[in-house]
Amino acid sequence: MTGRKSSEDAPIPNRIAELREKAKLSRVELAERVGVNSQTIGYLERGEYNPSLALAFRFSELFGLSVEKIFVRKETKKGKTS
Amino acid sequence: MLEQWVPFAAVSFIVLLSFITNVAFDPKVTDWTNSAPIEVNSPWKRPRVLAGKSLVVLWFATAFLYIATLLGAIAVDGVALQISSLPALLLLAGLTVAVITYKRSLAQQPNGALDERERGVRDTLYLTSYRIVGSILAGIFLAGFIAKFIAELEVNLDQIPTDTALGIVVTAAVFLWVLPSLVHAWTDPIPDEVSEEASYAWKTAKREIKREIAEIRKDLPKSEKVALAELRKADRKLGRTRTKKKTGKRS
Repeated sequence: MTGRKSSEDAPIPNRIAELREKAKLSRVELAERVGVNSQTIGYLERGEYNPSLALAFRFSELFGLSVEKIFVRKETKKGKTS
Repeated sequence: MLEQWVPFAAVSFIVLLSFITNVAFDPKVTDWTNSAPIEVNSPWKRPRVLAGKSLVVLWFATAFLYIATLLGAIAVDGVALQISSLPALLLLAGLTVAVITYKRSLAQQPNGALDERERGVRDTLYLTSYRIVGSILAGIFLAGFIAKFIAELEVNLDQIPTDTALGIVVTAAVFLWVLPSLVHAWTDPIPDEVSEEASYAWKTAKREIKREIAEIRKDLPKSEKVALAELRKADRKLGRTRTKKKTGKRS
């Protein structure tokens, strides 16, 4: 039970902040496009919230990247996503 | 008359102290815009502040103060102060509004107004509230059981005046209503980010003002030039008159 909880709580690193910057979108604009509150974008960017699969796919469609290119399971020591 | 405002002054002092300690002495609080650095995999940790927790403590302190004033008197150093319950009631009402709106009234919102994360947060708040209320009821039941059957105390609820009982019931009802918001403010005490719309509007306004200033500055040299030319003209005229005068004097 504990193991399951810890794996659920572990933040999944993501590139939302970087991709949002590249797309020159504000948090509000991005939030509107994926249908969440702008606060949630902040939580996602800080790695304080792991999105549902449906929301992950909405990000994927918006940025034109596959889900695993936006959300990654592991991070390297250098801080780059693998 | 003066002592009627003692609780109000006391709580106002606590509010002021809380504000000073939270805002004035903690520069991190000013970072509400939450400008997260754009770095992949180094999530920016929000500063931990006491703002939400202070609000919860204040709410409970005021609720207890209100109930205490309902009983008619508060003894301070053996001196019974006759205190009006109205200031405490007004303060409790104000704090209730502050607690509910603290995190954008998330606990009071219907499903349609929330996204998936917010719905999860709200549901957890209600689950926690349910557990808290359950624990309180179990505690009251246990205390009653101990008082009646173990300590064999005579508990006569009929002796409580109607006004006092009504006040306690109203406070309990408000407590039940506001509990999810209290739990939210306690468990996630950081105020929400300043809305990006407001931040964006402010940035746009700043940009507009800067642009206006730049335009004025652009125009300034022209007017300066005109002014300088006028000055030179005037100077020349003055020089002429001065020389004329000088020459006139000489002649």
